[in-house]
Amino acid sequence: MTDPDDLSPERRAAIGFGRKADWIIAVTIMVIAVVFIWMLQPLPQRATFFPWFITISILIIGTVYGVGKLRNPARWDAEYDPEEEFGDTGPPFLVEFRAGILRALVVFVCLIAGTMAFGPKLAVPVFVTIALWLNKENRIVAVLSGIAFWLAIHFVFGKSMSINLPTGYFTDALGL
Amino acid sequence: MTECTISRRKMMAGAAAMTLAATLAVTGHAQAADYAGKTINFVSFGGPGSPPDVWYRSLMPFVTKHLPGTPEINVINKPGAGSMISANYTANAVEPDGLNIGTMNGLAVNKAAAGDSSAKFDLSEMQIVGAQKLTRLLVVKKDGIENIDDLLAMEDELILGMESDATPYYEAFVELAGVEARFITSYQRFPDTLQAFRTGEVDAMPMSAIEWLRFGPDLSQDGAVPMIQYGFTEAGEVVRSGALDIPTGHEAVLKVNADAPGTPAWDQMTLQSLTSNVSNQVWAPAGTPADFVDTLSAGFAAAASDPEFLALHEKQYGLPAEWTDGPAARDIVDRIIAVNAN
Amino acid sequence: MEELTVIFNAFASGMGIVFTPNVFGAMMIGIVAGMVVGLIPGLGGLVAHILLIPFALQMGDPLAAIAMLLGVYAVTVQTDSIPAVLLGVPGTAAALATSLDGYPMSKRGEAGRALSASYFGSIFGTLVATVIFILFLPLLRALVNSFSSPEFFMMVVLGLVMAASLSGRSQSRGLMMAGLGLILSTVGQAPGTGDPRFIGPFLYLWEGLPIIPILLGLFGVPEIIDLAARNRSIAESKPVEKIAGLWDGMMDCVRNWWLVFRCSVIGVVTGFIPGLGGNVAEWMCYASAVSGDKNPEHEYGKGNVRGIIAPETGTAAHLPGAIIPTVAFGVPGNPPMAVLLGIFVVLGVRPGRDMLTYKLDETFMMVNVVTVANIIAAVLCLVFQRYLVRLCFVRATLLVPFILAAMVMGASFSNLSLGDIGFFAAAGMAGYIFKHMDWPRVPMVMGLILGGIAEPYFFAAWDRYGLTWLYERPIVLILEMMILFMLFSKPIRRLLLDRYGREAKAND
Repeated sequence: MTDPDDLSPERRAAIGFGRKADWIIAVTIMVIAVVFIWMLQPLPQRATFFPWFITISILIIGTVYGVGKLRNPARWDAEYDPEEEFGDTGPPFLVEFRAGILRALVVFVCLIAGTMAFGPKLAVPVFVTIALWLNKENRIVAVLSGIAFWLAIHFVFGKSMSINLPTGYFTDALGL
Repeated sequence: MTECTISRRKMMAGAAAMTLAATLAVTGHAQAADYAGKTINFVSFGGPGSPPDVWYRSLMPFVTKHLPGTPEINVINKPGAGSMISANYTANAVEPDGLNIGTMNGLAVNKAAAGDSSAKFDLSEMQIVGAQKLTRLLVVKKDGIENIDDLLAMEDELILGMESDATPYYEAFVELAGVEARFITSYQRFPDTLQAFRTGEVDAMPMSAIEWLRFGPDLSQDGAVPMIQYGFTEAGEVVRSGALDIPTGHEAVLKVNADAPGTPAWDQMTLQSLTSNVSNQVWAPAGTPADFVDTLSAGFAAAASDPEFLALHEKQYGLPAEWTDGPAARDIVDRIIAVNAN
Repeated sequence: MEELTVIFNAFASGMGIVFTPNVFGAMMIGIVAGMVVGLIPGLGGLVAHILLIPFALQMGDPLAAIAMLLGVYAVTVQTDSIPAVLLGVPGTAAALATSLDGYPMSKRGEAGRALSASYFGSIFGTLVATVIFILFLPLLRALVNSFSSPEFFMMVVLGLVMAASLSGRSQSRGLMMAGLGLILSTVGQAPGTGDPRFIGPFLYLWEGLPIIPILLGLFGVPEIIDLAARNRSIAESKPVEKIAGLWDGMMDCVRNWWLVFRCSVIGVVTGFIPGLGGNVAEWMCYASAVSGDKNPEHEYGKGNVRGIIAPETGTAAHLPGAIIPTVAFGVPGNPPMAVLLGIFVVLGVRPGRDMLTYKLDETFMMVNVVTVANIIAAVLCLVFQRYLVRLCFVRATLLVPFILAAMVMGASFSNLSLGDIGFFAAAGMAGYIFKHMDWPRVPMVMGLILGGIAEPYFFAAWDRYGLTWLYERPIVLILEMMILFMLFSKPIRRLLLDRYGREAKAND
């Protein structure tokens, strides 16, 4: 286990952030459970019994977790060892990887937004081409990869397997 | 009560005649829809590999063969909620263009006809293409119970396990036959109930004739016996399925309760027996053009009575395939709706 | 005797299924994909599954689809030893121990011997595990025959508690994540009553939350974001040029037959216990090799071949072991099995007694696929390892777009709806946070999958036996004790340590 004093200030800050985020996650899980129960009110008892049982369990465990963390946060969380636990990239928003992580997240969000707007049949090949292009890979490889993806989707899935992939909201609105 | 035992040869001859008639209907229909180059999406309520799914899948090549234009058929599995998921999906999530059809079982039809909130469609507006005729049985495994007379004379409590939708027929049966019974209806799917039955958690469970032919040989070794069947409704009478020589629930009740006919429980049993004629149905969503529905109905009827399919069915299941065509099935569903409305 | 005949017939029939063209072809696709992806450190079998899920779901033959995914599952734990030995970079967590002795051997010029020992260790491990599986099957069948709804319900609870307790550092976090999975599993129609829960106007949710997009998001997206964030090729040192000594490696396994047997047993047992992954089997076997070795000349961590044989045998043997609880009880033996269970359910394989009775041949097919795939992979590795290792040097900038695109495709095949993409994205973001905040994802997935199984069992037990099942049934009582032990052994031990530790300090 790494001695906390040996960690860089950035890593210590990231661990501190992680400890705060633990609270957010724990409370979010408890809130989800309570909201679910609230939504079930009109249903008969038999349909709500199991969700009630789970929600109460979550609230009890959450309370135990919260009390334990308040009393002795270091031991309760079994001490972070960022080198061992998180691999190369450490906890999120660690300074040295922040730019890379944010860039990867933006790429991911773009892919999802594109798929929602135009459907996977169009968005996925375009994404592959643009991503390889922006990553400074060979441009011919980028274009050919996009075309290969489109051909696979259109002929292998669409024609030979009769799989109709969903169309996007934007293409639907335009009636394409 | 009329006892009906149809010989296999007669059935085959009848089937051949039906094939001819259905084929003529398909080819001769004034406005037969053409499926050339098209793909039909077929929503199956059975999970992949389950008995109803296997049955539908084995029928599909023959449907392709008998539809004009020999379309491809893409089977999509939407199992769960006693086939209501498949029914809701067919009614609401697909285009009524004649290229999308789905399935539902008799239990779901009863629920939908009774206005159950889980049915998100109006049954009277949906368009039925046809239905598999399949009787259901009650199988019992309990010490000292070897035949229907033992069951009717039994003084102990009989514990029946089943999905919640399946209870009306059996509740009516035990009420009329005077059998003391308790229902465990928490089982979600057939395999769960089967497991409870095998381990002795429940004494009795329902299953279709096909399921009995598949699992029966093994269950019989442990002492399981099929006791009663729903039977089919023919000319207003409940009769035994030609494939299984097991008394109908109506016959069994009459052994111990001559006053049963005319009671609400008796009528409930009769209504449930009617659903055996349309056990596993094929539907097109409301708004599907009539020419497509007619073409599909004729195509399915022709496929279900194709001699090659019948031979395959006989080999696979050990009993003949039986099919109710679209107009006859519509008539039965309308009667179920009317009974529920009353 | 009759039962043994049934088992051997099922074994033969299962082997027959493996060699049908459909199943064998699908398994070979899985093997090749698993070999390629298993070589890429940081990706492993899960990403290979992700790439193949779209094909698996559309194959039409569930057994072929399962064979393909199990082929991947079987070979990735074997091929990951190539970068571990040649580059000192373990492909998966389960290859960490292999790299401890493998890389020093490689530097000493014994890479071929080390790799050969690892392959044959894997082969012997799966073979011994299969034999153990056959021998103990009658016992297992008898056990499952005595399981009714109460026992199955408690088994599911035990599986969840074990996963929650063992898969992360904090037990309470694991339990909360299991609870989150369970509450999410209640979306859809209530079993028994059919009432819609949390569905709102969305027909899409009638069947419950889509498992596959959520699995892909929770486990796949965090790996890819991390790979993209590092933005470099996975291995940076030069590959070893000469690979020789393959015969020596095989003979090492033969000479250390007792170690192979011991580690196979450890592997099967750890595979059977829900929540313990291959890395647990690996380290237990490594520890067993070290502690059981009285020879002072055997220095572990500096290139001892026994330090390769033990973990590789253990990880390979735990694969067939993990199939048993997955198919018999619906309780996955390890995290990859949790993912596979989700896919099995979608493909129509319903865990339960059938898998050890009517469908025993299908269960044997799964076990045999793992064994056969391991042997084929070993042969292919021996032939192609020099070329395969070059995959470790593919740039992240080239890999990431392809894998992300494949994952989106995989997610959208689930229900062919944009809702799938939405859940995939949400699960991906949540998975990233969970991974880096050390909130274990396996209990959540197990809760999501097992919730739908647990609820009907619970009501069946309640309706049939009232509350008496909680205290009148011996197996239930044993399971309850195990659950209580899993829940409270850690806190009690900590309490005792605190108390007596303080007293000891005061006495000093």
